[in-house]
Amino acid sequence: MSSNQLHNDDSILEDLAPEVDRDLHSKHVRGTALLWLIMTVGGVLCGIYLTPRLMPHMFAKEGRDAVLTVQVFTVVAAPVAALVCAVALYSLLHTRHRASLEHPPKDGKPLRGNALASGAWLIVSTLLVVFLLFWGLTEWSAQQVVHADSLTVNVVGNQWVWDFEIPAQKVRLEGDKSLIITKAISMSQLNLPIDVPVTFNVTSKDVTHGFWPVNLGIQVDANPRATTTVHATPDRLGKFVVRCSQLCGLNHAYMYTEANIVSDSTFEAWVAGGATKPIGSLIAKGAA
Amino acid sequence: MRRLVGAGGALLLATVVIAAIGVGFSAQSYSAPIPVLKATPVGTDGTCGKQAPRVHLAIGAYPDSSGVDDQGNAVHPGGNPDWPAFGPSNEYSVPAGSCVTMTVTQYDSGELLNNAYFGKVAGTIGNKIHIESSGTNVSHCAEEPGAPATFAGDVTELQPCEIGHTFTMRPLPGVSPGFFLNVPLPVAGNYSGENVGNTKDFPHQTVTFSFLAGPKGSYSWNCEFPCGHGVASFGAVMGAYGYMSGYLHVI
Amino acid sequence: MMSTALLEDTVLSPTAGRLYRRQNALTGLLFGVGLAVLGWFIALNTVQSNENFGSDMTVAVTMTCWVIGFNIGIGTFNAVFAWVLGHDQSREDELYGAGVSQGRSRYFKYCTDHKVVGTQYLILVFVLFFVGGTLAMMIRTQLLTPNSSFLSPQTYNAVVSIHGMCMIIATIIMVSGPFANFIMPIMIGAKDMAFPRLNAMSFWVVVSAVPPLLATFFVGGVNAGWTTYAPLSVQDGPAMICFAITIITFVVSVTVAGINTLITVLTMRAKGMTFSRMPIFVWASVIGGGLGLYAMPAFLLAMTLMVADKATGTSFFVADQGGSGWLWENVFWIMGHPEVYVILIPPVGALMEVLSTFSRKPVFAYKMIIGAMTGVAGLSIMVWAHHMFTTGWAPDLAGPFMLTTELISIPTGIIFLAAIGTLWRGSNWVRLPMYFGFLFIWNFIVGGVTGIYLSDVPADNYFHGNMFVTAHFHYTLLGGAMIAATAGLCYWFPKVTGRMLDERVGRWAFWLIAIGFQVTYMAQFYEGFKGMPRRVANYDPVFRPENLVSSIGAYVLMAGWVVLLYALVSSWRNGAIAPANPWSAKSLEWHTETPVPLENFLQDPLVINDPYGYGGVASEQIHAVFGAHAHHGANNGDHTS
Ligand code: HEM
Ligand SMILES: [Cu+2]
Ligand SMILES: [Cu+2]
Repeated sequence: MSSNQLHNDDSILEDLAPEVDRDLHSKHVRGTALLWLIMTVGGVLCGIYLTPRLMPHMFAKEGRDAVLTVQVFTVVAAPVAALVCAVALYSLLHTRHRASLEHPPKDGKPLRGNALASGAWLIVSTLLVVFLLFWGLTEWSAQQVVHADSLTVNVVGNQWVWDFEIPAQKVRLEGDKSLIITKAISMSQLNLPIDVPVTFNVTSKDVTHGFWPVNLGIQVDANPRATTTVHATPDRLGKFVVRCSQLCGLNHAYMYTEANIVSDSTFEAWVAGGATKPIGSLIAKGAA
Repeated sequence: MRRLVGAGGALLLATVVIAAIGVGFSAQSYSAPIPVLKATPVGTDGTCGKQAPRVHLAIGAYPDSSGVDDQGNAVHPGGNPDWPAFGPSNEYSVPAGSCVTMTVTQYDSGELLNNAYFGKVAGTIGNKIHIESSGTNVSHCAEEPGAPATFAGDVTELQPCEIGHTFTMRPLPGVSPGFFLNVPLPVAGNYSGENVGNTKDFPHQTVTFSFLAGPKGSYSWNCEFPCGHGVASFGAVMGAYGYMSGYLHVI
Repeated sequence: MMSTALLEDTVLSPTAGRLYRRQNALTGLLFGVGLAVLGWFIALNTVQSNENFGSDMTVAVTMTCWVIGFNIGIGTFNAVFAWVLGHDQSREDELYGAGVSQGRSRYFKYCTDHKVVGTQYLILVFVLFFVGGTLAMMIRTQLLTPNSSFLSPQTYNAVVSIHGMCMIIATIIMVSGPFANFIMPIMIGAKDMAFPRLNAMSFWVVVSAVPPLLATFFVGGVNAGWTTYAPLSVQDGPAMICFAITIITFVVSVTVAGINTLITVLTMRAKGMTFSRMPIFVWASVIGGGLGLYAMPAFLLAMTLMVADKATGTSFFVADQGGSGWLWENVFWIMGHPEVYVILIPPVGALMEVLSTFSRKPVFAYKMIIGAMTGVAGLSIMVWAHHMFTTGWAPDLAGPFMLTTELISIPTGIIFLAAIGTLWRGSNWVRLPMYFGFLFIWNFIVGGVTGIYLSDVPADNYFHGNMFVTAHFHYTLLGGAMIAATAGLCYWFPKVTGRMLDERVGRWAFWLIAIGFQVTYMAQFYEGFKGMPRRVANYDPVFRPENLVSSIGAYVLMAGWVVLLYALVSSWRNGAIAPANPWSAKSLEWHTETPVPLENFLQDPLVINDPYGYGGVASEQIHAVFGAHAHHGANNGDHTS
C-alpha cells in the first residue's frame, strides 16, 4: 500500500526546482485536457444524437423547439460540465494520496486563486448565459406570434376530466378552403385538423389544472375564474395524449385524454356528421 | 465479519420496519375492506350492437353512507353520516369484451352541476340512458317548490338542475384511451335534501344503461356532481377515496 | 476566567435551574397532549357545530394547543415568565440550563449548551430522514408497476405530500441545525451561541412541529403536494390545517435560529477572527441563515392566510370568491425559491471545508466563493416565477425571469470553479468525506445542467409538471445538498461524537448510495423526457421499464442510507476513540479537546491567519494561538507543522 505513496509525491519534486514544477504543471494540464476533450466530445455527441431519441415525436413546432433546445443546451453545457468532471476525475486518478487511510505526508500546492482562471471562467460563463438567454428569448418570441384566423378551442379542466368545445366559427383550412361550424361542438377528446393554427382558451371549473397536450410541447394552467391562452399548429397526423400537469386532487393521475390530429377531409366529414361519432372511426375512410 | 453481520442486521431491521409501515398504509388506503362486486355472464346477446356475453351490475347512490340499503347491507362500511356514497361497493369487475348493463338506483337529492357538460350522456350504447322515476322527485329548475323531475324512458341529456350524482368513467392511463363514459343520475326526492333515504320507501330514480367493456384493464370512475364541501364543493366526500369514486376492473 | 473543566464538575445547589429541574421531554409531551385534549374538548362543544368550518377550526385549536402546551411543558417560556415575575436567572441557573452535572438526561431537556442542541438536532434530522425515506419507499413501491393498487389515490397523494414536506424540513435543518450549532461557534472561537436560550427554543419548537405533520395521515391526508397550491389545498380536509400549523411553527424555529446565527457571528468571534479569516462554512451559515430570514416569513404569512381561508371562510386564495390561486403560487415561490438555497448554501460551505482539508490545500478563490454565495442568495430572491412559467400568470414576465434564472448559473458556476480549483494539484486524501465530496460534484453538475433546460421557457413548456422536474430537484437537493451535508457529517463526526467513524462500512454505504442514486434519478430523467407527469399514483404502461428501474434504484439507495446509519450508530457507541484533530485540519474546532468542554476552549484563541494555510510558508500555517502561550505559537492538537 504505502509503496504507492511515491507515485504522487509531486510536491516533493516541486521543492527541488521551479522548472520541475513547471514541467509537472504542464503534465497535469495535458492529462486534464485530454480527459476534458474526451468528455466534451462525448457530451456533444450525446446532445446531438441521444437527446432527441429520448423525447417523443412532436406534433408541432413548439415541441420540436423544446427538443432542439435540449440538444443545443446539452452541446453548450458539455464543455463546462466536462471541465469540472475532468479536473475532479484527474485529481482522483492522478493526484490522489494512495494510502487512503494514512495521513498524506505533504500538503498540496497552496494555490489560493488564479486571476486568469477565475477571469476566464467568469467571462466564458457570462457569454454562455447570454447565449442561453438569446436563444430562449428568440424561440419564445417566435412562439408568441398569433395567427389572425386561428381555430379557437375552449378547454375546460374539471376534477378529473378534460372537456373541449369548438365554438361556432369559420375555420380556414389549408388552401383557403373554409369550414363553417354552425353549432358549438363539445367533445371529450381533442380532435383537431392538421396544419390549422389553434388558439386554446383554457379555464377550470374547480381547482388549478395543467393543460398539457404532450406532443405539442405547449403547456398552460387551467385556472378557475381566469382564461389563459396558448397557441400551436399541429402539423402531423396521428394521436397523442393530453395530460394534467398540475396536481389536482384525488384522481389527478387519471385526468388525461386522447388528442387526434386528422386530415382536413376527415375533420370536415366528422363535423358534417354532427361531430358525435368517434373520430377514429372516420380516420380509415379519410386516409383512404 | 462482525461489521458485516451488523450492517446486514440493520438492513433487515429497517426492511421489516418499513414494510410494516407500508402494510399499515396500504391497509388504511381503503377505509374499510369493501369486497369487489363481481359480475358474471348470464348469456350472450346483441344488446351492445354485436354478439357479446351479457353481464348485469346493480348499484345505488345513497344519501347516507353510514346507513343500510334495502337488503340491509351497509352502504359503505364505517361510512360518515353526513356523506353520500355509492354502494354496496365502489369496485366492480366484469369480463373483458362483455356487454355490461348497469342499473344505478339514485336515492339522493342534488343542487347544481359545476359544468353542464356532465349533464350529457356519453359512451353508453346509443348515447342514451333509460330512467324510471318513482315517488315525487323535485328538481332545482324552478323557484320554490321546484319543478317535477319525473322520467319514464330514454334520455340523452339532463339539465344541470335535474342532477343528483353522475357516474363518470375513464380508463387508467394506457388502457383503451378513447373510452369515456358519462351518465347523469337525476335528482331523487327534493333537491333541498328533503324526503330522501336509502331505501325504496323513499323516492328514487332507476337509471339503466349498457356499454361494451373493452380489453383487460382498469377504469376509474367518480361522481362529477359537486356533493362535497369547500371549493367547488369538491372537498370532503369528493376527495375521500371510496365514497364517490372507485374502479371498474375488466378482467 | 473560570476554567471550563471545573465547570462540568461543579456541584450545583439542589435548587439551581428552578423550574427547569422538573421539565423534560416527558413533561412537554404531557402538557402538549393535555392542552390539546382540553382545546379539542372546548372546540368540540363550541366551534365544531359550524357546518362549513367546524372540523377545520377544531383541528386548528387542537394543534395550536399542542404546540403551545408542549413548549410550556418543556420550558420554552420559563425565562419569559420569570422575567415578568421579576426574577432573573442566577449564574447557577444558567449552568444548570447548560446541562452541568446532568449526564445524558440533558439531551431530553431544554438545554442551552450549543453542543447539546447541535446533537439534538442531529438526532432529529436522522429521525425525519428516516420517516421521509420510509414514505419514499411507499411511493416507489406504488410506482413499481403501472396500475398498482398498493395505495389508494388518496393515500398516495397524502404520502407524496408529507414525503415532500418532511424532507424539505429535514434538509433545511440538516446543516444549520447540527453543524451551525455544534461546530460553527467553535469555529469562530465563541463560548456559546449569542442567545443560548433561543437556541434551545429553536430546537424544541421544531420538535413540536413534527407531530402535526404526521397527524395529517389520521385526518384524511394532505392531497395537494408539498407546494399545497390553492385552491386545491383550501378544498382539502383538516389535514391541511395540521400541515399549516407545522409550517407556522417551523418558521418560528428557523427564524429564531437564523437570528441567533447571525448575531453570534457578528458579535462572538474570537480575537483576530476578522471577516476575511472566517472559515467558508461560517460564511455559508450566515448567508444561508440570513436568506432564511428573508424567505421563511413569507411561508408563515402564506400559511396563516391559508388557515384563515380554510377555518374562517376568508378568500385570499379562492378565485370563486374574489381571491387568487396565483397569489398563493407567488407567495409560495417567493419563499420557495430562496428556500432551496437556504438548504443548499450551508452544505456547500461544509463541503468547501472538506475539500480544503482533504486536498491539503487552501480553498481556491476564497473571496470569490463568498461573493458567489452572496450573489446566489441575492439573485435567488428574484427568480421565483420560473416555477410559474406555465401558470399563465404574467406571460410578459417570462423573459425577465428567464434572465434572472440563467444569471444565477454564473455564481453557481463559481462554486464549481472553487471546488475544482481546490482539488487541482491537491495532495488528495480520499477519506469518506471526500468520497461524498466527489459524488456531490457529479450530482450537482447534472442538477445544474438540467436546471438550465428548465429555465428556458419553451423547453419548460414540455418539462413542467413532469418527472424531469422531480429528477432535477432530487439531483440538486438530495444529490447535491444532502450529499454535501453527509460529507460534512463524516468530516465532523469525530468531533461531535468523540469516536472515529467506521470507514469500511461507511464506504459500502457510499457505493450503495452513489449507485442507487444514479439509477433512481437517471431513470426519472428518462421518464420525464418521455413525458411522464409527476405526482401520479398510476401511470401509462409505456413507462413501465424505467419506473421499475427507478424503484429498484430507490431500494438500493435506501439500503445505502440504512447501512450508513448503522455505521454512524455503531461507531458512535463503540468506535475507536477519536483524537482531537484526526484530519490535521486548521480551523478552531479541531484545536480544542474532544469531547469539547463546556464553553469550548480551555484557553482563549487568538486568530492570526485564515484556516487555509496548507502548504504555505510557516507563518501562514497557523490559524490561531491559544491563551498565555499566544506569543510562542503553540498550536495544540496540530500534528502537521
Ligand atoms: C443552475 C441552477 C438552477 C436552475 C437554472 C434551476 C431552474 C429551475 C427551474 C426553472 C425550475 C422549475 C421547473 C418547473 O417546475 O417547471 C426548477 C425547479 C426546482 N428546482 Fe431548480 N434550478 C437550479 C438549481 C437548483 C438548486 C441548486 C436547487 C436546490 C438546492 C433547486 C431546486 C429546485 C426545486 C426544489 C424545484 C422544484 C420544486 C417543485 O416544483 O416541487 N434547483 N429549477
Ligand atoms: Cu387536473
Ligand atoms: Cu426555483
